[in-house]
Amino acid sequence: MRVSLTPGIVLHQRAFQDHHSIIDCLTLEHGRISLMARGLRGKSSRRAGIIQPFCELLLSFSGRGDLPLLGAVEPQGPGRPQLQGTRLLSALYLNELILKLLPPLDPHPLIYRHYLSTVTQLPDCHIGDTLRLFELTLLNEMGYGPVLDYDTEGEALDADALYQIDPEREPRRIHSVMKQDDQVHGATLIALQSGAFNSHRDRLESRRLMGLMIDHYLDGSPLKTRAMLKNFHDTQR
Amino acid sequence: MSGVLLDDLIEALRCLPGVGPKSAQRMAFHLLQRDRRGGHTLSAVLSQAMDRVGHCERCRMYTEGALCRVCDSSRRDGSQICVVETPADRSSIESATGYQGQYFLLLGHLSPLDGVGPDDLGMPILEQRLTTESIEEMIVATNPTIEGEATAHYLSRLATRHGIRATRIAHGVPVGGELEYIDRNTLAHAFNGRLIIDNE
Repeated sequence: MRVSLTPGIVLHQRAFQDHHSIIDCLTLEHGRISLMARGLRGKSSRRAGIIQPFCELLLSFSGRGDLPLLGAVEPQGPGRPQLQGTRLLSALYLNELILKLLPPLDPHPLIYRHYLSTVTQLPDCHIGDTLRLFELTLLNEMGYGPVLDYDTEGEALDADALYQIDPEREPRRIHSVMKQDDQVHGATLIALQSGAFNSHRDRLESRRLMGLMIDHYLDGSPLKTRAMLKNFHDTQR
Repeated sequence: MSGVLLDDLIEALRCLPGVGPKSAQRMAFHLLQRDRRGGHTLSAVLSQAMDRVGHCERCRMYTEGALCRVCDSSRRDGSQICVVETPADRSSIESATGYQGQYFLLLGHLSPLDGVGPDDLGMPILEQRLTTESIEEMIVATNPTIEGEATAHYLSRLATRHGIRATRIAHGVPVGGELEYIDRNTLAHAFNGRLIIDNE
């Protein structure tokens, strides 16, 4: 495989031996891919300041097997967005979602573009709403998205009704009021579908719903950035 | 033909960073051919250091006693604490600056994607120091990487919670560098962190 200057974003960087790194990237045309970046951590490496997460680069790579060798790298578009604190951790959360959910070498241009617009917006947007919409796009594109326009009976959703969520089925309308984690109001499902969260309840329930969906498809693998975000909030108190 | 012990020595030397089979062989032959006394000293000191060097109880620097030289000194300023990632970072600050305060070594950085959390970095020990000592300023000297920034933010929250002023070392254009050759992320950081020129 020999690829020349294809758009891509660095998701994570791991040290390899003394001076090399393995970088996990999301590319527009080749999906998620890991690359060997030789000499990236060396004292005289001029590329370390360019090969940064959260910004678009043009990446060249070549080689057979699971770990192609990174070649020329050029910056593309604006540089790394200025992210701090919770917003920085939220961006790392997006990276962890992609690393854990998206299979390698499976290109999804819509996920790529949505990721790029999400990290660009993160410095000054409503974090929760932006994350929910990214989670929804990711699951929808992978074919795992929740059904948000009709219930198990094929009826349109009622904003005031309660629905029970099963990650692999349509929402089931329930009439008893049992407060459980897998129950949300119709208004929440409609808000997720339209991308407009109008109330605190919409936001709380959509976070719970998307958490439930993601946990189901992660199959027991914990999200470390989610735990750290919680730790950050606890430190703030 | 090489004896088994020689092969073991070459293999053992390869545990050093940047030492491959060829360099390890050269080192082994050098010690055996030209500097047997140096080899004996190295082996004795290495063995003692591996057995006796542990971590300072206060700052987590490597030391053979309970406290390292900086923590044990009565001449250091107790109102400042500089938090660094590695012992090498501490040595660099000691040799390059006139800093006379205390240190704390994280021996790593927060890296959620690798599963490294606050407890792995000795944060409970640091928090204990912030509670019991009369520290007024925490100088956060973690690397300007994504993980270093996340760590810096965590530390600043911790300091604020204890009523301590948190400051971050500046990063940007290196002294003697030329703007034309600086990468855009470094330059953007330097530009955003510009300072007022003092005319006095």
